[in-house]
Amino acid sequence: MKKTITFDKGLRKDILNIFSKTTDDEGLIVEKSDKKQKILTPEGDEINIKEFAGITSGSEVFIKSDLISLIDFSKKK
Amino acid sequence: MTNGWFGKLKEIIKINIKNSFNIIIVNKPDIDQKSILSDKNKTVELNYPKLTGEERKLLGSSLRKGIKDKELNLLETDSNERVKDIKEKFNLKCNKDILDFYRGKISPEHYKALEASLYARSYFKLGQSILDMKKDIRNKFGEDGNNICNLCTTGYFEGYIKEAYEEMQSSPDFSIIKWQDYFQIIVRTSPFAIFVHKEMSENELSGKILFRLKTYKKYGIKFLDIHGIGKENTKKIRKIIKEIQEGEKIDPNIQTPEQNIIHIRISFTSY
Repeated sequence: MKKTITFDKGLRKDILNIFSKTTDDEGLIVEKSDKKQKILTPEGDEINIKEFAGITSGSEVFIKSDLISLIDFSKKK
Repeated sequence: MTNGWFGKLKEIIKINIKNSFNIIIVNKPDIDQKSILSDKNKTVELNYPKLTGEERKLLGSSLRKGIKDKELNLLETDSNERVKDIKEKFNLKCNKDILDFYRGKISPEHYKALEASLYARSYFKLGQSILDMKKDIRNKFGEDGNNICNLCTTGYFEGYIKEAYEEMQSSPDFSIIKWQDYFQIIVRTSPFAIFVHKEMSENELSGKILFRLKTYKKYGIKFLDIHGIGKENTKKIRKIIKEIQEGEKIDPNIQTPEQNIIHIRISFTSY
């Protein structure tokens, strides 16, 4: 079973930074090296930093904090 | 393991903690400590603002390794609490029974909307606001999601809809496609529908239909659907429709998906 490390909401930017991500002018999560490259959920949705819930493993899967995304995550966890 | 993500992390914490400890990366700039250990709660907090540049690098490297090696999830604390709560709520018998019943009987999208609606309902039952959850459901599944949530909070998934499935299933020419077509009708038109149950008296049904006719006419709504299961309800609905027809200009269209299920649509184009 995978271990889950949690982080405070106020550290979202720092966590993204660890994974070489940042946000664009609209608050959407993008690659630090190429701000035009948006980070998407497995469903293809863009992620605003306000709705960034975390990262799961594999190839860095980014998770949104809406109810449906968290239900999906709860099944995989 | 010492060379893995956990080994790297322990280099920062400098306390001999076990992997079973909860690790939380916190943002407490007013506290001087880098790590706060609670043996009682088996929790260690890493105070990010107080870590040195080198320690932050080590933490980053540990997290990236854990994610890369598929040994770690990284989740914002509130979302983690919600995930735990979702698992708990889905394990409750009342929710588990419904989810088990509808698995494979409705489309995967509808099923996901039902899951989210059941979770929302557990808070609705406690008298809490579920507006944010409903918004998530609507954003993801559109009007169908919204209607499934309303049908779910009012108990139709363990009531009318389940009974309708069981009635259709007992028919020799039952097919899942036929059922899903009817389920789609129920979902799409539920805001403009009356579901008749055996406790509903003729007077109550008549009153409901007349009230809706008057309201719908006023707001330009184009139809009213009436659903019922079983001989008694079918008889009751037909009788009341006939009586209403004597006083109101309505044109009911009987769309019966199964012998013992009645679905009448009253259209208002000529009303």
